Amino acid sequence: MIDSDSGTALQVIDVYKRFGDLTALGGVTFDVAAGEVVAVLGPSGCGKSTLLSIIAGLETPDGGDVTWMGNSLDGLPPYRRGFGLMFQDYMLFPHMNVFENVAFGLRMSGQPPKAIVRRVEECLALVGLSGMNARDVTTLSGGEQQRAALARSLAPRPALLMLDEPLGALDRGLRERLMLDLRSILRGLRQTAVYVTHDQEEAFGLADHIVVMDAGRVAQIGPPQAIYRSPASPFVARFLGLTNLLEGTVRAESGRTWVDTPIGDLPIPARPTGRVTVLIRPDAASLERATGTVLHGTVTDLSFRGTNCQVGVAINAVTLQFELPSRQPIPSQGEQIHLGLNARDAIQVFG
Amino acid sequence: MSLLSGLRRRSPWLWAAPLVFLALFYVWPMASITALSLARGQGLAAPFLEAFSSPIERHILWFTAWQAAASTALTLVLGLPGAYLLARYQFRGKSLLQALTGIPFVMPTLVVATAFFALLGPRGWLNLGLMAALGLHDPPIQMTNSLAAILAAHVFYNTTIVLRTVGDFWSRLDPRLASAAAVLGAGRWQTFRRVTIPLLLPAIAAAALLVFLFDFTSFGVVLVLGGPRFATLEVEIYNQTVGLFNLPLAAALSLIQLACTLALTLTYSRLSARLSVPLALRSRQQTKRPLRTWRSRVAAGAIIAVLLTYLTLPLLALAARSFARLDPERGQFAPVQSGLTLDFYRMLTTNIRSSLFFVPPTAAVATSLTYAAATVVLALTLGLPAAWALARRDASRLDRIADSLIMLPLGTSAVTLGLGFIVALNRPPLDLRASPLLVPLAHTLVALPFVVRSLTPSLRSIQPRLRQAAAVLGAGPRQVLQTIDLPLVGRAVLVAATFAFTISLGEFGATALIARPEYPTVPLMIFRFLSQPGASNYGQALALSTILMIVCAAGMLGIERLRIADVGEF
Repeated sequence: MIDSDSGTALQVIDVYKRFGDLTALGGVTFDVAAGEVVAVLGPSGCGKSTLLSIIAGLETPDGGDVTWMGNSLDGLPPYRRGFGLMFQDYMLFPHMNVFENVAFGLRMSGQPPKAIVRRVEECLALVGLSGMNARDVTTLSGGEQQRAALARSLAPRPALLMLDEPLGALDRGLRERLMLDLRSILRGLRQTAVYVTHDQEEAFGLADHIVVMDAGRVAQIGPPQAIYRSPASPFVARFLGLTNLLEGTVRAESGRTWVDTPIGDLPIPARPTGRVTVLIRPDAASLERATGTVLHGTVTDLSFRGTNCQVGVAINAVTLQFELPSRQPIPSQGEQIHLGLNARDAIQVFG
Repeated sequence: MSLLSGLRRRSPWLWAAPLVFLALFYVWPMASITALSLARGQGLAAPFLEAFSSPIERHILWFTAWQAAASTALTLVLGLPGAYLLARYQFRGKSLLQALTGIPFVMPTLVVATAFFALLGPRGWLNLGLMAALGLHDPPIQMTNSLAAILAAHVFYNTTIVLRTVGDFWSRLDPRLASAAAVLGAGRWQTFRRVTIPLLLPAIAAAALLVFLFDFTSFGVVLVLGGPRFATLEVEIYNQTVGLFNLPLAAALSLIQLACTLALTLTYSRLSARLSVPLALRSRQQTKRPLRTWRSRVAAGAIIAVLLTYLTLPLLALAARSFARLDPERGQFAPVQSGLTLDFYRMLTTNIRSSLFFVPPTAAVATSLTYAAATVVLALTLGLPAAWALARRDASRLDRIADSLIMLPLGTSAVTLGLGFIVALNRPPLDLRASPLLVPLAHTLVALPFVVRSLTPSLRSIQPRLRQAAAVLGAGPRQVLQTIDLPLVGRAVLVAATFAFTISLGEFGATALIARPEYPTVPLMIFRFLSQPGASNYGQALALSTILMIVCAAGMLGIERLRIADVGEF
């Protein structure tokens, strides 16, 4: 799946993990190339944090293997792996100040004091916490704690950096700013990283590749655009916020193929007949050019979002959501409209 | 506005009764002790110079300190693995284990001393068993009147403190802090040394200080198990007062004791304040895991076995021994009919030797129950208003000062309190020597900190919002009082009353000095029986101790059940 100039660094091969009756991971496989950021994206409880614990060596898998540069990590304790892990709520050591926290990993590897001081200063500068050395970590703000935790993870120059929902505990405005900072830091260091999140915006913004997980299994792997443009399953589509999903039946007659759905017949490229789920992309409809497949409906709600406008359209008792560019004329509530689904990928069919 | 919140506003009045009580029965006696010890020498240093100039007293002070240090160290050795187990693992029977390990702490000292007698004494199970097995005529193990017995009893007594204080803190410490250290390259030992231990240190230090404080002021255990060879400051104060009637020296020693214990108490409350500073603490459910590997199961099994054996065996030995006739009466040469017997319990009601000074043990039970009831009434009358004043969210300066004043008796040894009563309350205007209230007053002084400390959080937990919620749901002021305030306060009052009752039943140090000989309490009666020779005296000590043990254990289990969720500090 992964095409990068550099070779594969981390391989997760068919990893299983059970907790009692619960299967946390049911055979997870993916690769991370050197220097790339891979986001593991999924709803809470999908097993993504367990996966990080296994890669870090904090949990042992019940089956499968994790390799680094081709060597199995099986049986290697966390402190010999040379990886970094940034915890969701940071886990800064409350009995140490900022400097001591960042220096911890360097001390563990027995570096000389002068080198430790230099490296800590360097990392604090990198995350924008210069001069905060002596601060008590319990007095830091949420954003500062996040930066200190990042500096602590980066200080020992980990071969692989894992981040477990690193922005999850922050409020929205701060999150977006820190996401951009994090992105430039990871890119600047060409840091190999696995980034766990439930927020697709973070995953899209930060990752070279995304591994979408569903209930302990990999649902889809690919670059962000590819996943967004063609989700592999209704689950992935729904998780990415593509909610116009309809049940339907594929029928074919005299060279024509269409899906029979609650909103009417939708023509599709030829494919075997049978029950399917159809995704209608919200951003693929147009009011201006009502050509191709045309939907007739009533506007039930409108919500202005800046660059676009979210429009709820009721068609045969089903309400679909569409995004119309704000530059176009916006229909009003209760208006009868004709929407043209003329983009090539407007309709996607899951067998 | 409810009746209760109206009361809370008048905080100065709430303090009137408790403060008058403390002034008369704590401050005045302590001032009298100070005056007495200063009367002989010149200047403030006089009592200390006097005590330190005598090699005997110097030795006693030294022994008091080092036996307390040794006991504390041993208590930590036994308690810390248990604290780790209880903090980090979930297993079947855990709550039972916690309840059982809590029992020794509430046992009266005399019960503990008798229990160790029943297990390790010359006529205890171990010696009798060895004598029967090896055909010996004399007990092979001399555990009583030895340092080992004192240390063993102290460890028995105080392991609960380590299990509770350290275990509770440990269980809320996020295990992912250790994971964070491991990922950063710290091995198991380094993680333990650099992360876990430093984080636990305040809790360990607080527990150790409290244990040290209890061992330092230990009285009943040392008096009974140590024999004539060993004396702590506390025992020496008692001997100087009761045996030699050297009140000025006793007063000087009491001042030294007081200085030490107040310093320890102060340090302790500083430390416990630090324990409530939010570290990376989590709700307890998230930090526990099951015992998965067989190695962890074996280790846990070993810790549980040692704890349970050590903390329940002496009490079981006591109960069993009180029902067994195993050795001959003094002067009896016929072979013993060994077997189960209720004789010792029957003897409690009869005057075998037809002694003129005989006080039937049943009378002691009645005296103890009367004193305990009086203590409950007094402690609640004084404690409730104090707790109400303290439960307000915006504590005034008066509240804070009064609060620390109420806690002072906790940092004062029982024998010192008793001595204070003897010295201060023996002349007009306050001549209470003959008053039947003297003993309940002393017991109230000991019980009051516990009563206030257990009431305050419960009263505080009755949030105004709870009342508002009831009011919005249609409850009028009277219904709010009936359905919200009283049920919640009622439980807290019951818990506090149980504390006061069991403390009074078991109190020995102060009572030993001030009780009138014709009205002994149960612990005094046990002490009398233990100091007299003969199998029947010994048997009666066992029987009385067993009764006291059951009452106190029942009280403790009642407190655990009644307590609202997690509130309460004891």
